[in-house]
Amino acid sequence: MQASRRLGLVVAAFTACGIAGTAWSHHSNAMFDETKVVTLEGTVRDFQWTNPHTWIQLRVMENGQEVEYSVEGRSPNALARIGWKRNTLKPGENVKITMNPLKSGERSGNVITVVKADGTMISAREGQAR
Amino acid sequence: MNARRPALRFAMHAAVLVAATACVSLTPARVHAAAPAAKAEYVAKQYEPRSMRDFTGLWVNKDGIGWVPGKIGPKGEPPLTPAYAAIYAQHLKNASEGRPTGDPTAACLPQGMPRIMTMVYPMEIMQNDIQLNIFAEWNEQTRRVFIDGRPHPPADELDPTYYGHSIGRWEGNVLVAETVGLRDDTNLEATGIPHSGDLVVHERIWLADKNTLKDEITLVDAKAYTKPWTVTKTYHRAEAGFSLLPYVCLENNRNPINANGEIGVILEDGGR
Repeated sequence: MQASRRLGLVVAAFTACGIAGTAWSHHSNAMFDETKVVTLEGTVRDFQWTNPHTWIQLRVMENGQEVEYSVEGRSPNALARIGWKRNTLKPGENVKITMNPLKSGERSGNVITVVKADGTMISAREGQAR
Repeated sequence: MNARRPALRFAMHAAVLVAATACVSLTPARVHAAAPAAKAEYVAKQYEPRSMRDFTGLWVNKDGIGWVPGKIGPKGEPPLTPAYAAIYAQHLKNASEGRPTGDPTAACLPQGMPRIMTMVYPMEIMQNDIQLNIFAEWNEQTRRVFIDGRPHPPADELDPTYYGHSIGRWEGNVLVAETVGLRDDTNLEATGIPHSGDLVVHERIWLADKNTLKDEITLVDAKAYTKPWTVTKTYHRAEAGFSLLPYVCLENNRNPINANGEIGVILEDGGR
Protein backbone atom coordinates (compact mmCIF):
# COMPACT_ATOMS: atom_id res chain seq x y z
CA MET A 1 0.00 0.00 0.00
CA GLN A 2 0.94 3.66 -0.23
CA ALA A 3 3.41 5.04 2.25
CA SER A 4 1.25 7.48 4.11
CA ARG A 5 1.04 8.58 7.66
CA ARG A 6 -0.87 10.60 10.10
CA LEU A 7 0.75 13.98 10.44
CA GLY A 8 -0.47 14.73 13.90
CA LEU A 9 -2.81 16.78 15.95
CA VAL A 10 -3.00 20.50 15.50
CA VAL A 11 -4.92 22.28 18.20
CA ALA A 12 -6.28 25.56 16.94
CA ALA A 13 -8.91 28.05 17.93
CA PHE A 14 -10.98 27.21 14.88
CA THR A 15 -13.95 29.32 15.82
CA ALA A 16 -14.67 30.10 12.17
CA CYS A 17 -15.75 26.50 11.67
CA GLY A 18 -18.13 26.51 14.56
CA ILE A 19 -20.29 29.54 13.88
CA ALA A 20 -23.79 28.39 14.74
CA GLY A 21 -26.56 29.69 12.58
CA THR A 22 -24.85 29.65 9.23
CA ALA A 23 -24.44 25.94 8.89
CA TRP A 24 -26.68 22.99 9.43
CA SER A 25 -26.11 19.31 9.39
CA HIS A 26 -28.89 16.76 9.72
CA HIS A 27 -27.51 16.20 13.20
CA SER A 28 -25.79 18.60 15.57
CA ASN A 29 -22.01 18.74 15.43
CA ALA A 30 -21.63 18.41 19.20
CA MET A 31 -19.98 15.02 18.67
CA PHE A 32 -17.03 16.67 16.91
CA ASP A 33 -14.34 18.64 18.71
CA GLU A 34 -14.46 21.90 16.77
CA THR A 35 -11.53 23.33 18.76
CA LYS A 36 -9.19 20.74 17.22
CA VAL A 37 -8.03 20.20 13.66
CA VAL A 38 -6.42 16.89 12.73
CA THR A 39 -4.48 16.43 9.49
CA LEU A 40 -4.51 12.99 7.90
CA GLU A 41 -2.55 11.81 4.89
CA GLY A 42 -3.57 8.62 3.19
CA THR A 43 -5.19 6.74 0.35
CA VAL A 44 -8.87 6.92 -0.51
CA ARG A 45 -10.42 3.46 -0.29
CA ASP A 46 -13.97 4.62 -0.93
CA PHE A 47 -15.83 7.90 -1.42
CA GLN A 48 -19.50 7.54 -0.49
CA TRP A 49 -21.53 10.20 -2.34
CA THR A 50 -24.65 9.62 -0.27
CA ASN A 51 -27.19 11.33 1.97
CA PRO A 52 -27.46 12.45 4.64
CA HIS A 53 -23.66 12.70 4.61
CA THR A 54 -20.76 11.92 2.34
CA TRP A 55 -17.97 9.71 3.68
CA ILE A 56 -14.30 9.48 2.77
CA GLN A 57 -12.85 6.13 3.79
CA LEU A 58 -9.16 6.86 4.16
CA ARG A 59 -6.36 4.31 4.67
CA VAL A 60 -3.67 5.86 6.85
CA MET A 61 -0.37 4.52 8.23
CA GLU A 62 -0.24 4.90 11.99
CA ASN A 63 2.71 3.61 14.02
CA GLY A 64 3.72 1.29 11.20
CA GLN A 65 0.23 -0.12 10.82
CA GLU A 66 -2.40 0.69 8.21
CA VAL A 67 -5.71 1.81 9.70
CA GLU A 68 -8.90 3.30 8.27
CA TYR A 69 -10.58 6.59 9.08
CA SER A 70 -14.27 7.26 8.32
CA VAL A 71 -14.34 10.97 7.51
CA GLU A 72 -17.79 12.52 7.44
CA GLY A 73 -18.70 15.38 5.10
CA ARG A 74 -21.68 17.49 4.18
CA SER A 75 -24.46 16.10 1.99
CA PRO A 76 -23.83 15.59 -1.74
CA ASN A 77 -26.49 18.29 -2.28
CA ALA A 78 -24.46 20.86 -0.34
CA LEU A 79 -21.13 19.76 -1.82
CA ALA A 80 -22.47 19.65 -5.41
CA ARG A 81 -23.46 23.30 -5.02
CA ILE A 82 -19.86 24.25 -4.22
CA GLY A 83 -18.48 22.27 -7.15
CA TRP A 84 -17.93 18.74 -5.85
CA LYS A 85 -18.91 15.70 -7.91
CA ARG A 86 -19.25 12.02 -7.07
CA ASN A 87 -15.80 11.46 -8.65
CA THR A 88 -14.07 14.39 -6.96
CA LEU A 89 -12.27 11.73 -4.91
CA LYS A 90 -11.32 8.43 -6.52
CA PRO A 91 -10.34 5.16 -4.87
CA GLY A 92 -6.55 4.78 -4.83
CA GLU A 93 -5.95 8.52 -4.78
CA ASN A 94 -3.53 9.99 -2.21
CA VAL A 95 -4.91 13.00 -0.33
CA LYS A 96 -4.31 15.10 2.73
CA ILE A 97 -7.41 15.85 4.79
CA THR A 98 -8.07 18.27 7.63
CA MET A 99 -10.97 17.49 9.95
CA ASN A 100 -12.49 18.19 13.34
CA PRO A 101 -12.03 14.86 15.14
CA LEU A 102 -14.73 12.95 17.00
CA LYS A 103 -14.67 13.72 20.71
CA SER A 104 -14.89 9.99 21.44
CA GLY A 105 -11.42 9.45 19.95
CA GLU A 106 -12.68 6.95 17.37
CA ARG A 107 -11.08 7.14 13.93
CA SER A 108 -13.52 9.63 12.47
CA GLY A 109 -14.12 13.33 12.08
CA ASN A 110 -15.81 16.07 10.13
CA VAL A 111 -13.91 17.09 6.98
CA ILE A 112 -12.79 20.71 6.51
CA THR A 113 -10.45 20.58 3.48
CA VAL A 114 -8.98 18.06 1.08
CA VAL A 115 -5.61 18.59 -0.60
CA LYS A 116 -5.07 16.51 -3.74
CA ALA A 117 -1.69 15.00 -4.71
CA ASP A 118 -1.08 17.91 -7.14
CA GLY A 119 -1.55 20.41 -4.30
CA THR A 120 -5.08 21.54 -5.21
CA MET A 121 -7.02 22.38 -2.07
CA ILE A 122 -10.77 21.77 -2.01
CA SER A 123 -12.98 23.24 0.70
CA ALA A 124 -15.77 21.12 2.14
CA ARG A 125 -17.21 23.94 4.24
CA GLU A 126 -18.24 26.77 1.90
CA GLY A 127 -21.87 27.67 1.35
CA GLN A 128 -24.64 27.43 3.86
CA ALA A 129 -25.97 23.89 4.11
CA ARG A 130 -23.76 21.35 5.82
CA MET B 1 -32.66 -11.59 -64.58
CA ASN B 2 -34.05 -8.96 -66.91
CA ALA B 3 -37.52 -9.49 -65.62
CA ARG B 4 -36.33 -9.07 -62.06
CA ARG B 5 -34.25 -6.00 -62.71
CA PRO B 6 -37.06 -3.44 -62.84
CA ALA B 7 -38.46 -4.93 -59.69
CA LEU B 8 -35.05 -4.75 -58.08
CA ARG B 9 -34.66 -1.20 -59.30
CA PHE B 10 -38.02 -0.30 -57.92
CA ALA B 11 -37.16 -1.92 -54.63
CA MET B 12 -33.87 -0.05 -54.49
CA HIS B 13 -35.53 3.24 -55.33
CA ALA B 14 -38.16 2.58 -52.76
CA ALA B 15 -35.50 1.76 -50.20
CA VAL B 16 -33.60 4.93 -51.00
CA LEU B 17 -36.81 6.92 -50.82
CA VAL B 18 -37.72 5.38 -47.48
CA ALA B 19 -34.22 5.97 -46.18
CA ALA B 20 -34.26 9.54 -47.50
CA THR B 21 -37.65 10.18 -45.91
CA ALA B 22 -36.37 8.75 -42.69
CA CYS B 23 -33.30 10.96 -43.00
CA VAL B 24 -35.41 14.02 -43.62
CA SER B 25 -37.61 13.29 -40.65
CA LEU B 26 -34.60 12.50 -38.47
CA THR B 27 -32.52 15.40 -39.58
CA PRO B 28 -34.08 18.20 -37.53
CA ALA B 29 -33.90 16.17 -34.35
CA ARG B 30 -30.35 15.02 -34.98
CA VAL B 31 -29.14 18.48 -35.87
CA HIS B 32 -30.89 19.79 -32.78
CA ALA B 33 -29.35 17.13 -30.57
CA ALA B 34 -25.88 17.77 -31.97
CA ALA B 35 -26.09 21.55 -31.71
CA PRO B 36 -24.11 23.00 -28.79
CA ALA B 37 -27.18 24.86 -27.52
CA ALA B 38 -28.92 21.52 -26.88
CA LYS B 39 -26.36 20.81 -24.16
CA ALA B 40 -28.12 23.41 -22.05
CA GLU B 41 -31.36 21.42 -22.08
CA TYR B 42 -30.71 19.76 -18.72
CA VAL B 43 -30.07 23.10 -17.07
CA ALA B 44 -33.13 24.64 -15.46
CA LYS B 45 -34.30 28.03 -16.67
CA GLN B 46 -35.42 30.61 -14.16
CA TYR B 47 -39.21 30.55 -13.83
CA GLU B 48 -41.17 33.64 -14.88
CA PRO B 49 -44.30 34.05 -12.71
CA ARG B 50 -47.52 34.41 -14.70
CA SER B 51 -48.95 36.84 -12.16
CA MET B 52 -48.24 38.14 -8.68
CA ARG B 53 -50.39 35.26 -7.40
CA ASP B 54 -48.11 32.69 -8.99
CA PHE B 55 -45.61 31.45 -6.39
CA THR B 56 -44.39 28.58 -8.58
CA GLY B 57 -40.65 28.10 -8.69
CA LEU B 58 -37.52 27.14 -6.81
CA TRP B 59 -36.90 29.15 -3.66
CA VAL B 60 -33.86 29.45 -1.42
CA ASN B 61 -33.94 30.59 2.20
CA LYS B 62 -30.89 32.73 2.83
CA ASP B 63 -31.87 33.84 6.35
CA GLY B 64 -30.13 30.90 8.03
CA ILE B 65 -31.59 28.11 10.11
CA GLY B 66 -32.93 30.04 13.09
CA TRP B 67 -36.69 30.29 13.45
CA VAL B 68 -36.15 34.03 13.87
CA PRO B 69 -34.20 35.02 10.74
CA GLY B 70 -30.53 35.49 11.60
CA LYS B 71 -31.04 34.57 15.27
CA ILE B 72 -30.75 30.93 16.15
CA GLY B 73 -31.73 29.45 19.51
CA PRO B 74 -32.19 31.59 22.63
CA LYS B 75 -30.94 34.64 20.66
CA GLY B 76 -34.33 34.70 18.94
CA GLU B 77 -35.93 35.16 22.39
CA PRO B 78 -38.73 32.63 22.01
CA PRO B 79 -41.71 33.77 24.15
CA LEU B 80 -42.06 30.41 25.87
CA THR B 81 -44.39 29.70 28.76
CA PRO B 82 -42.59 28.40 31.88
CA ALA B 83 -43.48 24.76 31.09
CA TYR B 84 -42.17 24.99 27.52
CA ALA B 85 -39.13 27.05 28.57
CA ALA B 86 -38.21 24.09 30.79
CA ILE B 87 -38.60 21.67 27.86
CA TYR B 88 -36.40 23.91 25.71
CA ALA B 89 -33.73 24.22 28.42
CA GLN B 90 -33.60 20.43 28.62
CA HIS B 91 -33.22 20.14 24.82
CA LEU B 92 -30.35 22.66 24.84
CA LYS B 93 -28.61 20.83 27.68
CA ASN B 94 -29.03 17.44 26.01
CA ALA B 95 -27.80 18.74 22.65
CA SER B 96 -24.64 20.13 24.26
CA GLU B 97 -24.01 16.61 25.55
CA GLY B 98 -24.47 15.07 22.09
CA ARG B 99 -28.07 13.96 22.67
CA PRO B 100 -30.35 15.63 20.09
CA THR B 101 -33.65 15.22 21.97
CA GLY B 102 -35.00 18.42 20.43
CA ASP B 103 -34.21 17.53 16.84
CA PRO B 104 -36.12 14.62 15.27
CA THR B 105 -34.36 15.29 11.93
CA ALA B 106 -31.19 13.88 13.52
CA ALA B 107 -33.02 10.53 13.34
CA CYS B 108 -34.07 11.31 9.74
CA LEU B 109 -37.66 12.05 10.78
CA PRO B 110 -39.50 14.82 8.87
CA GLN B 111 -38.91 18.45 9.76
CA GLY B 112 -42.68 19.02 9.89
CA MET B 113 -44.60 22.26 9.80
CA PRO B 114 -43.67 25.06 10.44
CA ARG B 115 -39.96 24.11 10.31
CA ILE B 116 -40.31 23.10 6.63
CA MET B 117 -40.53 26.85 5.90
CA THR B 118 -37.06 27.50 7.33
CA MET B 119 -34.81 24.75 5.99
CA VAL B 120 -31.47 25.70 4.45
CA TYR B 121 -32.07 23.35 1.54
CA PRO B 122 -34.19 24.80 -1.26
CA MET B 123 -37.93 24.35 -1.70
CA GLU B 124 -40.08 24.11 -4.80
CA ILE B 125 -43.60 25.50 -5.06
CA MET B 126 -46.06 24.20 -7.65
CA GLN B 127 -49.62 25.47 -7.65
CA ASN B 128 -52.94 25.24 -9.44
CA ASP B 129 -56.44 26.49 -8.59
CA ILE B 130 -56.97 23.72 -6.04
CA GLN B 131 -53.74 23.62 -4.08
CA LEU B 132 -50.28 24.92 -3.61
CA ASN B 133 -47.65 22.24 -2.99
CA ILE B 134 -44.47 23.13 -1.16
CA PHE B 135 -41.78 20.51 -1.71
CA ALA B 136 -38.71 20.65 0.51
CA GLU B 137 -35.50 19.16 -0.83
CA TRP B 138 -34.49 18.11 2.69
CA ASN B 139 -35.79 14.56 2.99
CA GLU B 140 -38.16 15.13 0.05
CA GLN B 141 -41.12 16.34 2.08
CA THR B 142 -44.33 17.86 0.66
CA ARG B 143 -46.68 20.27 2.37
CA ARG B 144 -50.05 21.04 0.70
CA VAL B 145 -52.09 24.24 1.10
CA PHE B 146 -55.65 23.88 -0.24
CA ILE B 147 -56.85 27.09 -1.89
CA ASP B 148 -60.17 25.88 -3.32
CA GLY B 149 -62.28 27.20 -0.45
CA ARG B 150 -62.60 23.99 1.55
CA PRO B 151 -62.72 24.23 5.36
CA HIS B 152 -60.62 22.25 7.84
CA PRO B 153 -62.01 18.78 8.65
CA PRO B 154 -63.91 18.45 11.95
CA ALA B 155 -61.53 18.22 14.93
CA ASP B 156 -62.26 14.54 15.60
CA GLU B 157 -61.31 13.68 12.01
CA LEU B 158 -58.13 15.69 12.14
CA ASP B 159 -55.27 13.35 13.03
CA PRO B 160 -52.11 15.17 14.10
CA THR B 161 -49.61 14.96 11.24
CA TYR B 162 -46.21 16.39 10.34
CA TYR B 163 -47.67 18.99 7.94
CA GLY B 164 -51.16 19.33 9.39
CA HIS B 165 -54.09 20.66 7.36
CA SER B 166 -53.48 23.95 5.56
CA ILE B 167 -56.16 26.04 3.86
CA GLY B 168 -55.63 29.36 2.14
CA ARG B 169 -57.55 32.21 0.52
CA TRP B 170 -56.47 35.24 -1.47
CA GLU B 171 -56.53 38.76 -0.06
CA GLY B 172 -55.45 40.68 -3.14
CA ASN B 173 -52.12 39.11 -4.07
CA VAL B 174 -51.49 37.81 -0.55
CA LEU B 175 -52.22 34.16 0.21
CA VAL B 176 -53.61 33.97 3.73
CA ALA B 177 -53.17 30.46 5.08
CA GLU B 178 -54.02 28.65 8.29
CA THR B 179 -52.61 25.32 9.42
CA VAL B 180 -54.03 23.09 12.16
CA GLY B 181 -53.67 19.42 13.10
CA LEU B 182 -49.94 19.40 13.80
CA ARG B 183 -47.99 16.85 15.81
CA ASP B 184 -46.50 18.06 19.09
CA ASP B 185 -43.14 16.33 18.67
CA THR B 186 -41.56 18.49 15.98
CA ASN B 187 -39.78 21.77 16.69
CA LEU B 188 -39.14 25.14 15.10
CA GLU B 189 -35.41 24.69 14.49
CA ALA B 190 -32.48 22.38 15.17
CA THR B 191 -31.91 23.75 18.69
CA GLY B 192 -35.27 22.27 19.68
CA ILE B 193 -37.61 25.25 20.27
CA PRO B 194 -40.83 23.35 21.08
CA HIS B 195 -44.51 23.88 20.31
CA SER B 196 -47.60 22.02 21.48
CA GLY B 197 -50.24 20.12 19.54
CA ASP B 198 -52.51 23.17 19.92
CA LEU B 199 -50.32 25.17 17.55
CA VAL B 200 -52.17 27.08 14.83
CA VAL B 201 -49.95 28.58 12.15
CA HIS B 202 -51.16 31.70 10.37
CA GLU B 203 -49.32 32.80 7.25
CA ARG B 204 -49.42 35.71 4.86
CA ILE B 205 -47.45 34.74 1.74
CA TRP B 206 -46.74 37.15 -1.10
CA LEU B 207 -44.31 38.03 -3.87
CA ALA B 208 -42.44 41.17 -2.83
CA ASP B 209 -41.17 41.21 -6.40
CA LYS B 210 -41.11 38.47 -9.02
CA ASN B 211 -37.93 36.96 -7.56
CA THR B 212 -38.61 37.46 -3.83
CA LEU B 213 -41.16 35.51 -1.81
CA LYS B 214 -42.16 36.58 1.70
CA ASP B 215 -43.91 34.54 4.38
CA GLU B 216 -45.11 36.33 7.50
CA ILE B 217 -45.73 33.50 9.96
CA THR B 218 -47.62 33.93 13.23
CA LEU B 219 -47.59 31.06 15.69
CA VAL B 220 -50.57 30.93 18.03
CA ASP B 221 -50.10 28.35 20.78
CA ALA B 222 -51.34 29.37 24.23
CA LYS B 223 -49.78 26.26 25.84
CA ALA B 224 -46.28 26.94 24.55
CA TYR B 225 -46.09 30.69 23.89
CA THR B 226 -47.03 33.67 26.01
CA LYS B 227 -48.22 35.64 22.95
CA PRO B 228 -48.77 35.24 19.20
CA TRP B 229 -45.26 35.03 17.78
CA THR B 230 -44.66 36.57 14.34
CA VAL B 231 -41.58 36.26 12.13
CA THR B 232 -41.16 37.10 8.43
CA LYS B 233 -39.13 34.84 6.19
CA THR B 234 -37.65 35.80 2.85
CA TYR B 235 -36.93 33.41 -0.01
CA HIS B 236 -34.96 34.23 -3.14
CA ARG B 237 -35.78 32.70 -6.51
CA ALA B 238 -33.02 30.27 -7.47
CA GLU B 239 -30.90 31.37 -10.39
CA ALA B 240 -30.99 29.67 -13.78
CA GLY B 241 -29.09 26.40 -13.70
CA PHE B 242 -30.02 25.63 -10.09
CA SER B 243 -31.97 22.41 -9.67
CA LEU B 244 -33.30 20.28 -6.86
CA LEU B 245 -31.28 17.21 -5.94
CA PRO B 246 -32.43 13.97 -4.33
CA TYR B 247 -32.19 13.66 -0.55
CA VAL B 248 -33.24 10.47 1.18
CA CYS B 249 -31.99 10.71 4.74
CA LEU B 250 -32.02 6.96 5.34
CA GLU B 251 -29.97 6.26 2.19
CA ASN B 252 -26.73 5.90 4.14
CA ASN B 253 -27.25 7.26 7.64
CA ARG B 254 -24.05 6.35 9.48
CA ASN B 255 -24.92 8.49 12.50
CA PRO B 256 -27.26 6.30 14.54
CA ILE B 257 -28.67 7.41 17.88
CA ASN B 258 -27.93 4.87 20.61
CA ALA B 259 -30.07 3.81 23.57
CA ASN B 260 -28.71 6.75 25.62
CA GLY B 261 -29.85 9.19 22.92
CA GLU B 262 -26.26 9.91 21.80
CA ILE B 263 -25.24 10.26 18.16
CA GLY B 264 -22.42 8.03 17.04
CA VAL B 265 -20.57 7.06 13.88
CA ILE B 266 -20.70 3.70 12.13
CA LEU B 267 -17.02 3.13 11.38
CA GLU B 268 -15.97 1.14 8.35
CA ASP B 269 -12.70 -0.66 7.85
CA GLY B 270 -12.28 -2.02 4.32
CA GLY B 271 -8.90 -3.48 5.22
CA ARG B 272 -10.28 -6.10 7.56
